[in-house]
Amino acid sequence: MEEKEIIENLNRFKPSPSKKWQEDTLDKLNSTVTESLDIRNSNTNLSNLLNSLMMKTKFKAIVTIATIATTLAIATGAVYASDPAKPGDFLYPVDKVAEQIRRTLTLDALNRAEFEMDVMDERVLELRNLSEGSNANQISNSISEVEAQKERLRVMLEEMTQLRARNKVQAEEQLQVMNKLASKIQSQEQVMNQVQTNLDESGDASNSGELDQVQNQYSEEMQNQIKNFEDNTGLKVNTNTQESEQNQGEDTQIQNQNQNQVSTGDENGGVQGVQNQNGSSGSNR
Amino acid sequence: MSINKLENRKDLEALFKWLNEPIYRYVYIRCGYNRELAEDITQDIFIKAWQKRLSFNPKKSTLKNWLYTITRNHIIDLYRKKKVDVKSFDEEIESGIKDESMSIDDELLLTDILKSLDKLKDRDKELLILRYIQDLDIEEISKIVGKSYNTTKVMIHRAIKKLKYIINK
Repeated sequence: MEEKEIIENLNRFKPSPSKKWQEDTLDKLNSTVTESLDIRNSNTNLSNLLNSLMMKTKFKAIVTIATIATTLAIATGAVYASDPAKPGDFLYPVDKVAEQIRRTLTLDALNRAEFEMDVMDERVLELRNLSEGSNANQISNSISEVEAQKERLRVMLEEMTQLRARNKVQAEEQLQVMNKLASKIQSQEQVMNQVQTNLDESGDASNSGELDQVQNQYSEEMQNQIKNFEDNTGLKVNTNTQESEQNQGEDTQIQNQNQNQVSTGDENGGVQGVQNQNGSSGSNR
Repeated sequence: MSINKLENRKDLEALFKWLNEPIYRYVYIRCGYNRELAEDITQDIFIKAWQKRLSFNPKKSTLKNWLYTITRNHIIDLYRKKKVDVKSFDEEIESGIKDESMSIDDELLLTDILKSLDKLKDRDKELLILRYIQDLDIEEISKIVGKSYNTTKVMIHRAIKKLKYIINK
């Protein structure tokens, strides 16, 4: 058989997933997004939400907030807007209110900690997007939002630790959250480094300095949280860069019965020191 | 339809509609020609992509290459944790490629080719899958596997020659 024929036959091999799986997976992905932070695009029926809130008298204040937010959102036709609002956007206050509602409704400490981590992702992403522009005031506000979110996250992690001490939360359950934290810290730091680069390039020394301070505090506080957890429980938090988003040029190897090694790399295309078939080292990308 | 950002629900949905079939296909072949397993793993990959969305840098990579790299790393993880068996998939290949649109002869031919492909070293197998089943160009493949364009081109060329040798042996 010639190469051409082999290639033609390989070209023809196109297994596909079932339509049902595609539909089910889209639903699952929608749930994943909703669970993370995208309450603005949620399919939650707002009137059902308000009705359930009305049943609990202590949430009257939240009902008021929700009503105002809903009214605003409906009036502007913006509640199902597809893109998240950024600081400075007209819809941003609506986003923040919706986020606050979600925060209040998430009662389980573990879920709350994860929620705050996901919101931190959003704050950092907002900051990155803004840093590509030139509005220093907006960037400054965004850095403040990151700092505020850092504080919320710290408080939630400490609450979780206290609950664990009172046996209200299992160490293994908290380990899952801490693993997620370790992973997120690395990716958030990577993005904040990008923001620093953007600020330096645009000559925004003031915001650059402010962010530097926030970033250092965040890193230190979160590392302390991880260390304290490890010291108190004896469990090891997974900070493996293969698991995390960072993965800067670190090759990992796999043994296969048929082969030498396959290397993994940074998802953005950077791999260092890769061994090629002849055994010599490749160059950095 | 291609996109190059992953910031919200619409982006994730667009990404899934664009790449779910190629990613499924890649996983299906690399993880033993098992439909249910491939569907589960592919679903996990898209969830992982959403969770890792902050790590995507459009200045350094395309979303497609980024997703392929996540897929590749995820599969290597599964191999390492022995959640996917690393073995010969002869039986699975035979049952996995049943296609009513193909003649029996074509099915047999394809079966032979895939079994021979399965005998290649993992790196060669992966390159041929990416090039001739996933239809990626050499530039894209080089970014995913972390090699230079020329090295990748040469490796693919050698891999197809090895495959031809095994088939004709």
